[in-house]
Amino acid sequence: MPPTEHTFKQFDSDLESVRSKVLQMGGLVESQIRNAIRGLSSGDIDSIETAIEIDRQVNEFEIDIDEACAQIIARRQPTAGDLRTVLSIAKTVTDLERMGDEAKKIARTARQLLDRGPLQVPRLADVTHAADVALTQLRKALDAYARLDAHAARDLIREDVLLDNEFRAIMRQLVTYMMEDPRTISTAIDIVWIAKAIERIGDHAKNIAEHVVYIVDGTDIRHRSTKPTSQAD
Amino acid sequence: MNIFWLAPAVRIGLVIALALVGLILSGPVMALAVLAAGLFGFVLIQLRYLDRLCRWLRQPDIARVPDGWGAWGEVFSELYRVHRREQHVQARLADALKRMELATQALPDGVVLLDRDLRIEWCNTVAERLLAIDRVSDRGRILTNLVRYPGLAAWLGDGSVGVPGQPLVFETTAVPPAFLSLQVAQFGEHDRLLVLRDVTAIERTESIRRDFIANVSHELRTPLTVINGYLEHMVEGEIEGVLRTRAVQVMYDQAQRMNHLVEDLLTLSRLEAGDNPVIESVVDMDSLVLGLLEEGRSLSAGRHRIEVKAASIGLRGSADELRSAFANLLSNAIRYTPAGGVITLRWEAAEDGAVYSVSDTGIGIAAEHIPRLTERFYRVDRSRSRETGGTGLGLAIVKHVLLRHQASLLIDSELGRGTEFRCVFPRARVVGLPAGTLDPASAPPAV
Repeated sequence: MPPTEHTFKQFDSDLESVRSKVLQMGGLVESQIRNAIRGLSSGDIDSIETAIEIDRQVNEFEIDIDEACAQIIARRQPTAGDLRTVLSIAKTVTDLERMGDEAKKIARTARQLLDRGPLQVPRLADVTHAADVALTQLRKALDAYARLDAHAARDLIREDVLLDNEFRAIMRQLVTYMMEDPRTISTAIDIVWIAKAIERIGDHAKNIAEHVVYIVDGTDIRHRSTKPTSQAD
Repeated sequence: MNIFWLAPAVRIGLVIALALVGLILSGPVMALAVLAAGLFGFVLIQLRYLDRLCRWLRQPDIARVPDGWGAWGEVFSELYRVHRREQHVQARLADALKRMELATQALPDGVVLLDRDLRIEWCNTVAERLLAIDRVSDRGRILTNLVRYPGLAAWLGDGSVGVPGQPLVFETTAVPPAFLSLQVAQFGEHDRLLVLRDVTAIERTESIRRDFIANVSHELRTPLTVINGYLEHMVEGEIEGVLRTRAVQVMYDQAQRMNHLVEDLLTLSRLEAGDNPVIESVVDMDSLVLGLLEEGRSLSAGRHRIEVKAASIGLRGSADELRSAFANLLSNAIRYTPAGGVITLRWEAAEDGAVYSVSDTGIGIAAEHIPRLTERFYRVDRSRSRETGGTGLGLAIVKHVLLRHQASLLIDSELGRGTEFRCVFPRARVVGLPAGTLDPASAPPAV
């Protein structure tokens, strides 16, 4: 049976609804990360528990969306741009789920820090600043995904260096702290884990931006330096 | 009405008359030929006009309505009128629409129109700013894809989130985040009107209130814990002799601290109460500053040099409130200046009134703390300010006293160099400025 206009429409609406789900999942992850960071910076145990709790919902979203993708591929056998969209949805969901795991990690570590007593955390302001940068990148990535805006996505990919620099600066300062006063070592190591998790969140945001470019232009720009792509612009 | 058929009737009559002439001159064949030729010509002309009408209808242009004679002229001018009228109506409608849009743009609240799939149909500039969306390029996009607050889709969808009829308040993902309050109204069949308002300020006040209560409880509990601890040991009879004297001293200090805190809280709430006017009198600043100097010297116990430069200018206001504000500033300077430092009290005329200032050569305050110094319980360094006996409310009290006297507080500080607090009083509050600077008749009455 040849595909009719009706089947095309149905397919488009299926794809659109899965895309919406991905973005809903993105929103959930955004709020999870925010809760984890708030719990860390203000010592609010409710925020920490919320961040850990949201992870379960994020995982449910992942299973749900993966299932929907499998259905679309099996039923509609999409090609070209549609196939790229379905493939990138599956990858984006993986990235989002990993971000959720990182947020959970941050929340758990924050809880440990809290249990250890009143917060005298070195470089906490830098960590929350880095988290703001990571959250902004995630928001921009999801915006680019919602608008299928390859230009914004490319800009974002170039900004990834920001977060790497933040991470390195935090590391350097923590090392001086640990050398000055060995009693801060265990706390400092926890902070390192948190900073690393934030940096990973930034990396996943960059991945999502790469998926956007892949959907729109059909070019796979992963594992490339940004220079050739900027010339390709 | 116009007798539009008159001209064609005359023309057809003319053709018939010509045919009649032909009939008389050369018989019926000639008559028929003349009639046929006349009617043929007539039909040709009609066809030409029809063609022009058709062409014009395909591309109607008010300036190029075809012209014609006879009945056609009538038709064309009628067409011109109808068209003109239509354009007028259209312009009026467009105008009304434009005005409606301008009115919606002028609303202080954000407005978004959504269709049944939550796609954006239209929004005003406030909504563009609050939600970071674009009216033109985001038209037709699903709102919840761009505004991804987790509860929003459910709230707009099946209503499983939030209380029906109540606005939804959520935090945006912007840095720093804003709080938005959202209300929805249905219109048409499935379309929805979203009204959003920025409630960040209200949320912030609410959170300051919550923080305040938490802070007060914490500040009161800390000394209470110390007192309780000692008392428990005493009940069990574990503290004897010298230790006991020392314990009593510590408990006394802690009780004093609680006392100070409660007093400061009461002062603050008195200052803030709306129905509590300033008790006006002319304050003799000379003796007030001297009194402060005495207090300061006993607090400093010889560790600092305290200098005074007081002009003999009076100040109109509440002596008690001013004394407590100035004393707070002085005791801060003493507490944050290491031994051997210099503290200077000045009371002098300034360009537009008079200034009371306290400057020290103390540890200074980093720039990022200065805007928040007058917040209640805001501490630059928690451990330090408590060990020197501060309640965390001093500068809040200073701020309120100055507010009540229409004065402003300026803080100038450099880390490691020292700090200067300046209380700038307006002209209307100052009494006896040096001659020539103030004309008593023009001074506005004291509030």
